[in-house]
Amino acid sequence: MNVHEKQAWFVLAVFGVTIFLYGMLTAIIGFHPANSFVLFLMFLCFFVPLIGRSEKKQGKAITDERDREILKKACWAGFGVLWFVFLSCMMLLLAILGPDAIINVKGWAIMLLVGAAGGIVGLTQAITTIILYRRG
Amino acid sequence: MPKGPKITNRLRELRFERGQMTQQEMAEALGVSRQTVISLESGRYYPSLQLALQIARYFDQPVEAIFEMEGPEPKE
Repeated sequence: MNVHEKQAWFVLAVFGVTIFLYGMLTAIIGFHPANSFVLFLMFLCFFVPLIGRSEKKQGKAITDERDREILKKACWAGFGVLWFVFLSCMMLLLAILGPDAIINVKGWAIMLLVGAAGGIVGLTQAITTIILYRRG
Repeated sequence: MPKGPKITNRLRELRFERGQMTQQEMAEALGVSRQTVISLESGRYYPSLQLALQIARYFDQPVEAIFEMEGPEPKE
């Protein structure tokens, strides 16, 4: 398993644990704003670049053209899925609220949406990276 | 499997001809990872022109002696 695969698995693990804990808390105490604190676990993804750093420094980790191609495809997939989700949500809002609707969005909700967008991109990239490496 | 016409190669054969060379040794010589050599040999990954030429130079063979594209010849 190379550095990029390890990083992808780490992201997947962070998302998995976060979703699991959020689901468990919701099941136990129901929907509560405090549950959202679990989402801060996703900040662990900021440590992804540290994975395999020593291997890179020692020159053990090689990133060749196949790795770059896989990472490029994963990046496209991540932003492709985000674009699809964005368009779907816009169309859904239009269909539900109608063309004259005005939507008020609070500041924290925008932050949450940006975080969710980052999550969608990160998760899709991780899954695509793992699939492409597994395929060979 | 990459899209388009199938490309086969003789990498594995050439590697063995070169004194039972390991995939790791070949990877190091070409500056790629062992996983890439495995993918190349199995035909799951097609190299860039640069890598193909590098492989050809390494085995001292023309590219077309190592890689072969299946399917009809292009029309003249």
